[in-house]
Amino acid sequence: MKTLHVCAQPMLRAFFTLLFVASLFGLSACNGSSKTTFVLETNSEFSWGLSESTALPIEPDSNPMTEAKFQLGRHLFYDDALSGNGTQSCNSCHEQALGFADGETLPVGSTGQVLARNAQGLLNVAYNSTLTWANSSLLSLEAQIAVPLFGEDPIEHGINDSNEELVLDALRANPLYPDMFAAAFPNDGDPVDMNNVIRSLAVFVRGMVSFETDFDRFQSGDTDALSASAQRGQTLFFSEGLECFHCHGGYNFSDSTADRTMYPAFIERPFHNTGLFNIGGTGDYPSDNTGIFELTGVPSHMGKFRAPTLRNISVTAPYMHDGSMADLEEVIDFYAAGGRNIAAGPNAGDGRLNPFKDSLVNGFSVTPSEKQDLIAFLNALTDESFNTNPRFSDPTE
Amino acid sequence: MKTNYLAMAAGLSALLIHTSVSAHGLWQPTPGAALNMEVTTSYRNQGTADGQLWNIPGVLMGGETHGTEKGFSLDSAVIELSYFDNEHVYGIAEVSVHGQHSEVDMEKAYLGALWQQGATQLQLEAGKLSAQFSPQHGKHTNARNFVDQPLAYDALYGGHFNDIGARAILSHAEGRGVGIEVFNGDSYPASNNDNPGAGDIFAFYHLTFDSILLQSRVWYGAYKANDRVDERLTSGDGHSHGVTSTDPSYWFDGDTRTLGLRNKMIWLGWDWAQVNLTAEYMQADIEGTVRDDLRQAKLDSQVDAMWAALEIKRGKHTLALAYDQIQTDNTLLGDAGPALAELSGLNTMSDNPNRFRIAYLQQWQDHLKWSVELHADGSTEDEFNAVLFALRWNGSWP
Ligand code: HEC
Ligand code: HEC
Repeated sequence: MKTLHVCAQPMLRAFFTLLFVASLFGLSACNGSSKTTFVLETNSEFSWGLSESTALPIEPDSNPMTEAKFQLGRHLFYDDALSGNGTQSCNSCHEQALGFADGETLPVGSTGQVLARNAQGLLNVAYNSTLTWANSSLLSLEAQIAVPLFGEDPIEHGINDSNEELVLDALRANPLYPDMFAAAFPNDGDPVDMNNVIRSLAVFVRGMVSFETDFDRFQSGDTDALSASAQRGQTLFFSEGLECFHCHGGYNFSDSTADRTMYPAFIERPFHNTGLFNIGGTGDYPSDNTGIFELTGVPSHMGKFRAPTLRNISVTAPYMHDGSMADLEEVIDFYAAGGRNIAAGPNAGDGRLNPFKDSLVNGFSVTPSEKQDLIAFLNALTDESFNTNPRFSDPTE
Repeated sequence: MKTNYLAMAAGLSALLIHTSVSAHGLWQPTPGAALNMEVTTSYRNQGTADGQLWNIPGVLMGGETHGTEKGFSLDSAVIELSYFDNEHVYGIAEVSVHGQHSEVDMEKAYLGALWQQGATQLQLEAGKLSAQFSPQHGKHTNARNFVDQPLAYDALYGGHFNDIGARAILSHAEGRGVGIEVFNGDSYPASNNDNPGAGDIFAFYHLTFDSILLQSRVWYGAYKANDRVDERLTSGDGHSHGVTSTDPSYWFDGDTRTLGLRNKMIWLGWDWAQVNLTAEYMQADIEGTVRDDLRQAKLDSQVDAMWAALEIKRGKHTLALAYDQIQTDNTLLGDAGPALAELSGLNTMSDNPNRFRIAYLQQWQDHLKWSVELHADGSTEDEFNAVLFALRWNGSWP
C-alpha cells in the first residue's frame, strides 16, 4: 500500500506536467484558422447554370442528370415523331417564347380532343412539390411525362400499345438518335425504348431552371432593376392585406416548392380552392375539373388546385386551370372580389361563397394605380433570358 | 515537431518529480450562517451585442450568453446565503441578477455534506449547482479581473452551466483530488433530457517547487441535447434585441463532449509583486443534427477554445492582460448544410474569433474596487476597441 502511494505520486506529477505541456500545445493548436466545410449528398456533374446560392432541385437516384440525357430530351421535346400520328410534340403545347405555355385557353391533343386544363408554363418545374394543376400523387417528372405520351383521356401524344413500336422505329430511323441514345444510356443494349424516352425528357424538363428576372436582380442588390411602381407592387404582393405571398411565396413564388435542401418529411404539398366556382351553391366545380377531389373523392377537396409559380406569369396567359381569365387585370379583380360570381349559364353560382374556399381569399380593395403597381411587379417576374435561352430552344432550328 | 514536445514534457516531468510537494489544506468552513453580497456595475462605450444578436461566427451559441451592450450595466448582483452546522452538513443558496437581465435567477440552491478522514476529504452536494469542473466556471464577476468571462465559456457553455444534479469531490490535503458531477441536462449545451443528460469528471493537482506554485486541472464533460433551440431567440427576456420570435429558427439534436485543461502558475519569487499566469484550453466535439421547419443537415464540429491571462498584483493594485481565441472546424453533411449554417451562425469567419484585454484594478476601500479595461474585440467580423469602467462592491455577514 505504502509503496503504491510513493510511486503514484511521481506518476501523478508526471501526468499533470504532461498536461501542462499539452495545454501549451493546445494553445498553439489554435494557430490554424476556422473553417466550415459542406459535404453535399447529391452532387452530379450536371451543370444547372444556377448561382451558387440557389438551392438545387431534387434529383432522383433512378435518373441522375447528365448532359447527354438533357440533349437527347431536348431533341425529343421538339420532335413530332414522338406521337401516335406524327403530328404532335411537347412543343405543340409548350412554346419557349411563352414560357413554355401555349397561349390557348385549352389545348388540343393530337387526335383533336380538347383538354380540360390550360397548358402550364414549364419554368422551374423541377422545384414543384407536386406536378400539374391538381394531383397530390404525381410527384416525379418521370411519372408525369407518361401522361401526355400515353394518356387515353384526354389523348395528347396518343401513343399506345399498337403504335408504340412504330413510334420507336421512327425515332431509330432518325440518323441522330441511335448515337444520342447510346451516349445517354451507355449501359443499355438497345437503348431506344420508351423508358429512356421518358427519362431523357424528364432530365430536359428538370434542367429547365432559371432565376433571372428583374425581381431576382433587385433581390441581389441591383436597386434599379425594379421600377418605383414595381417596388410598390412588391410591397402590395407581400402584404397581409392582399395575402398573395401566403400561397405564391418563397423563391419560386409557390407554396408547393421542394428542393434538395429540404428534409423530405417536411416538404409541403398544399392545394387551395380560390372560389372560382360554386355551382348550385354547393361548392361544386365543373365535373371535368374538380381539383384534387377528382382523385381523392373527399368532399372538402372540391376545387382545390396547386398555387402555380408566378414566375413568367406575364407570358403564360390565359390564366387559371381552365384558362378562363384573359389577363392579369382580370386575375387581380377576381382576388379583390374574393372569388368569382358567375351569374348565368351551366356554371352559375357565386364562387365568393364557395364553402371550401381558402380563407386567405377574402377580398380587398385596391385603387386603379395600385392594381397597375401589382401588375408591374408581376411583369418583373418574367424570365426573358429563360424564354430566349438557346439551351432550351428547338435544336433543329 | 511532436517528438520535440514529448521530449520537453519528459524532461520537465523528470525535473518536477524531484521537487517537493507541500500541503495546501482542505476546505474547512466556519460553522453558522453567513451572508455574502456582491455588486458589479460598469460602463462601456461599445459592446458585442449593440443592436444585434451576438454570435461568435462558427459556433452554435445558446444558453444565456447575451454579449454586452454599450452603456451602463449591472453586470452582477449576487446574494449568497450559507449555513454550516458543526458536524458536516451545509446548505447554500444564491440568487443573482446578471447583465441587463431584469429577472432574478436562483443560481444555486443545494445541500452538502463533508467528511474528513486524515488528510482526505469527501464532499457530496445535491440540488441546483453551478458546475465545478474549472474554478473559472461560474466565478463571480467580483472575483475576476475582467468583467466579462473568457469567450470559451460563452462559446461552449452558454455563459455558464447551472443545472439540477449532484456531485462528489474527493480531495487530499496536499492539493489533489477528483470529482464527478451528474446533471439533469436541461441547460445548454444539453437540453430536454428525461434521464440525466449531462455530467463531467475532473481531476486536479497542485504542486510547488521553489517559488512556483502550479495548479493543474483536467476535465471531461458530456452533454446531450434534444430539440435544443437558441434560447436567446425564444426566451423573450429582453436580450434578443428585437429578434425575439416565438418560433425558434433552428433546432439541434446531438452530443457535445468537452475536454478541458487548466494550468495556473503562481510565481512568488519576486518580492515586489506576485505574478500569476493562467491558461485554459478546451476542446468541444459536437455531433448531431441541425434542422429547421423544412431542412436538416448533420453537423460534426470541433471547437478549440483557449484563453490565457497574466496577472501582476502588488498591494491594492492589479494589472491583468488576457487573450482569448476560438477556432472552429465545422463539417455539415447534407444539401441543406449551406442554408442551415447561414441560419444558425455556423459559418466561420476568415480570422479566428479573438479578444485581447488589459485591465487595471485598484482596491479602493475595504469593500470597494474600481477598474478600467481596454478591449480589442475580434469575437465577430465587426472588430472594435472599447473602454470599460467598473465598480465592484462586496460585503458579508457576520
Ligand atoms: C396537348 C397539349 C400538351 C402536350 C402535347 C403536352 N403537354 Fe404538358 N401539359 C399540358 C397540360 C394541359 C398540362 C396541365 C395538366 C393538368 O393539370 O392535368 C401540362 C402539364 C405539364 C407539366 C406539369 C407542369 C407543372 O408545373 O407541374 C409538365 C412537366 C409537362 N406538361 C411536360 C410535358 C412534356 C415533357 C410533354 C411532351 C412529352 C408535354 N408536356 C406535352 C398540355 C400538354
Ligand atoms: C389561398 C391561396 C392563394 C392566394 C392567397 C392567392 N392565390 Fe393566386 N392562385 C392560387 C391557386 C390555387 C391558383 C390556381 C387556381 C386555379 O386555377 O383553380 C392561383 C392562380 C393564380 C394565378 C394564375 C396562375 C396561372 O398560371 O394561371 C395568378 C396570376 C395568381 N394566382 C396571382 C395571385 C395574386 C396576385 C394574389 C394576391 C392578390 C394571389 N394569387 C393570391 C392560390 C392563391
